[in-house]
Amino acid sequence: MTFYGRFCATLVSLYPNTFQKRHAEELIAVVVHRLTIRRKTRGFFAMVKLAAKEIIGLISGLGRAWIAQKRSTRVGRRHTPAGNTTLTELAHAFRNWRRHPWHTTAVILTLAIGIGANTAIFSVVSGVLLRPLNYQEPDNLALIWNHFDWLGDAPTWVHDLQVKSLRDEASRFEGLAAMRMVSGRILGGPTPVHADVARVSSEFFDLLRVNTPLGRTFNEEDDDFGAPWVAILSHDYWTREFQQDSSVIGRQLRIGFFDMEIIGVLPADFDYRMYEALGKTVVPQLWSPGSGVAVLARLNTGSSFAQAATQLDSLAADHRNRFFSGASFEYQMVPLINDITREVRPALLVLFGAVGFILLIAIANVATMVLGRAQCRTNEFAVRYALGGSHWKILRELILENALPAIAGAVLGVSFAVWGVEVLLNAMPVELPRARDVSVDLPVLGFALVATVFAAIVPALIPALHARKTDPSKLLNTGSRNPALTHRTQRTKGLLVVIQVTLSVVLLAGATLSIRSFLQVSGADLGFSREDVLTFSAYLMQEYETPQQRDEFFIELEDRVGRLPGVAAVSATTALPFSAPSFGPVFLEPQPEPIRYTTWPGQGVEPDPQQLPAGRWLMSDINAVRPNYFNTTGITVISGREFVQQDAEFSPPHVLVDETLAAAFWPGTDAVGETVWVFNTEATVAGVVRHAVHHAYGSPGRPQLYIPYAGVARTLRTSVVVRTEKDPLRLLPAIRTAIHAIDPLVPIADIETMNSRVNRSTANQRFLTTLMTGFATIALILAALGIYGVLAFAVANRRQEFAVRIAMGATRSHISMLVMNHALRLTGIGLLIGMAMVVTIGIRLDGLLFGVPGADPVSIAVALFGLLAVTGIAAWWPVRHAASIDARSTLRSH
Amino acid sequence: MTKSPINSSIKDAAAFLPLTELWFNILLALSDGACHGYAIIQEIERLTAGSVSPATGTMYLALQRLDEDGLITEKQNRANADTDRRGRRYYGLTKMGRRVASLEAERLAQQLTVAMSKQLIDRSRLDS
Repeated sequence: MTFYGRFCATLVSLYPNTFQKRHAEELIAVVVHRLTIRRKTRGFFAMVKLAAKEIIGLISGLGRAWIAQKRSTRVGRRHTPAGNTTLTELAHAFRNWRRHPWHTTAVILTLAIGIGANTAIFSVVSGVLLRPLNYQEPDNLALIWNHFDWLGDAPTWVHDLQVKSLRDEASRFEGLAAMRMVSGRILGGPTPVHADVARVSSEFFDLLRVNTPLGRTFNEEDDDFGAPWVAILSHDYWTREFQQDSSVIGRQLRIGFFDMEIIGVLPADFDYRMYEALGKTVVPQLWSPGSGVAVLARLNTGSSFAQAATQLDSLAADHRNRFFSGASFEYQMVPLINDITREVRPALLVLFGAVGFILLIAIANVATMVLGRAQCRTNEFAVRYALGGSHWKILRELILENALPAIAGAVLGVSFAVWGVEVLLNAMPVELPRARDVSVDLPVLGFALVATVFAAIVPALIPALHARKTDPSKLLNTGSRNPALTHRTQRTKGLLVVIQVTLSVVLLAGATLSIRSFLQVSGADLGFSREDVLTFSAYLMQEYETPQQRDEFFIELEDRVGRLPGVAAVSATTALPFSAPSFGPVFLEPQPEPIRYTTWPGQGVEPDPQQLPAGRWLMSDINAVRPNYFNTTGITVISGREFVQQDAEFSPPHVLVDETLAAAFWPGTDAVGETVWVFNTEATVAGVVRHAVHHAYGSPGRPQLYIPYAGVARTLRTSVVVRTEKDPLRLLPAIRTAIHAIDPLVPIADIETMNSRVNRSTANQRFLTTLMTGFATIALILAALGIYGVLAFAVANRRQEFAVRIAMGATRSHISMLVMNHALRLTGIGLLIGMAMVVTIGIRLDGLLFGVPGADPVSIAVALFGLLAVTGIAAWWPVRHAASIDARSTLRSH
Repeated sequence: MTKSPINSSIKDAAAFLPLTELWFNILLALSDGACHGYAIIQEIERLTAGSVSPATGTMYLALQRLDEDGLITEKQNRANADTDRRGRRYYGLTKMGRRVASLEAERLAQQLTVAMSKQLIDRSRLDS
């Protein structure tokens, strides 16, 4: 019979007995005949089509057949005394299941762990990475960035003039919207709050196909220069601040320096993120010529990503000369979903891979157990074969038998996953993008179902194939001690153990890599002190318009807070560690033309990429700090001195540089007293300080240059740093009172200790490490069980051999060595393959690791010794058992 | 085959109407004489010019139901029993089956007349 015929036969075997008896044979013959004729007369594809139709017909007829059967049985008309085969087999399987509770429990638990962990992780992967975004035709949405070679890897904002040109020239796009996040204090609501505000052009909501349930979205006139300012509230802000009051439309709101009218409220499920949390308010038209924006684009229906990217490439060649005086630049287009999930994607994929290994290990483990059980039933199979039992029937029975615990395991696993997803989301350190899309839903259940079917069928196939390959007559003679069968079973079990060991090595090495990387991160020298430092932001608004006013405020703040008992030092800065500072080029020589800068209120300064600098220069973080900053944060001053209040008044002004910048410009010499040009101004280096980690771990970070805070033209957000003598958070009420004594309207926000800032930046690493360690532990336990099972069985089988050896004078330790050798042979092969895999996979993980190479010898060694130790533990009992065999009684009983 | 109690109580063949397309096609295919399953499929394909080609499983399920309901019956004395070495089962119409088929045909004819009177279908096309 052809494969297809067999497949149909399996399907027909699920039909009621009466139907099978009458029609099965003829039906299958007709199906095969029709397919053959169809292929000959109309070709291969017509045959495939018919085959699919036949399968669908057979599956859809199942329900009807059983209903008809039930009807006729109920009325007692066509009673089948033999009952139905499938039902009989199910009952048989269930009995078998109950007869071996330990075996069944082990299978159920193993599969529950495998399926549960996979379902939990898959629901996160599915919700975050796979599920389409909650917009119409989300695949057509993309973000467009500028990419300049000379600005490094990071994509940069697109300039307003470019957006205008792209709108006219890029025909592959339905439209482009400009947007930018800013933050500002919102007044006019019931309470003044500091919030993120997204500034978007009027096309934004049209492109996302989002409508406001209350009020309207932006229209073209709102974009006009000089048009009245308008704002749309997020549902969240509307609910929290206005208690969903619909009369809010038309009311005035003051955001930062601007008064604007509320024209609409967004739907509750609208969740758009750029870099930060969702803007509380959305405002159009706030960008001026020359400033940068992020560009949201929607492709025309029918245009592919590749076509659009090609068009952008050709436009970039033209725009290079038009906007950037020939500087090398290109457009970078990223699908919206990739941009939103880019920070979590690699970690999630690694976790998904790891958890997939767990499932494979679990299935290999179950296969070992099922094989062991099946071997005990060799005689039964032999008798059935000898009596003409069908191979398919035995296979079906084995699958059914395995399906029961697999289904039970899956139910347990999915329940565990539902709970696990909650735990995962709560434990997730940094807010996961699209977290609200994560749930155990239909696609996830489908995934669990596929995993279950896989787990039910694969372990059953192996014993069935074994039984088939063995000659029934020989089996009947030798029973379960048939040497060929025993050998084959042992070999297969060995192979399954090798698979488990291999995958466990990879997981253990992965977990070790992750732990080592995390330790490197936690123990890394940050360049500043993380203990007993409190940080918070103070927002100074229009009341403090001149640098002098702000300076006076902070002098008073430092004085009052500094006098509090328990406070050791106070200072302030524009950018704390692990927040994005401004950056710009620092030059060794004066520039022929002044460098143009784009200033963002509250967000810092960026150089205009239209200009190409001359002479020696490098891109540096530029951070404005107040006197005593280095003492407060614990950044060591290597040479020279730190800022004093008078620094701003010096001409040329004084700046400090970090060791990296000093080494780049003046290698081997003291930089103090040297001259640099920054912001088109000559400045003298007054001191050199340690490099402080300012960006994510693992990135080398730019050189750093510090300028006096008092010289900064306009900044809204200033971070205050307080060094304390004891628990910094306990001083907070006193500090708050002190500041509000100066000005009760200054909001204090983002309160955090330096320690927690640092921890937050390593939280992703810690989370990944915790999960990886958990997975590796599960893998090791399963591998140990697998090794134990195989060895225990081997020892039981070789009892007679061992007894003979002992009788011939072999010592107990010799017997122990024999068993141990067996164990090490199995583990050894797995270790070798596993280590090769670790090296291959590890190299690809380099980007996720910090301070540890992907092919890390220490991690490989840990995995090696870890697995050897596990082998030792798993082999302990079988070895002891083998060594304690009583030769005399064993030989007598044989 | 005995009739199911449900259907044996229904004396009137009209109770089977309207028939499903597949049932009607099977009855039509058997109206010229007994056929085996594959021949029925071929006959249905021929009668409908290939536009109806039932899946084999669906067809056999229908044969079983038609048999249980007493519309067709398995023929023991098939004409070509000697040449059919494959042991295929042959089915023929029962009196009841023939009655049901003609009632269904009449029902459809009536509907067709209505459709024509409402000029939903061109009479000349039917005639041709």
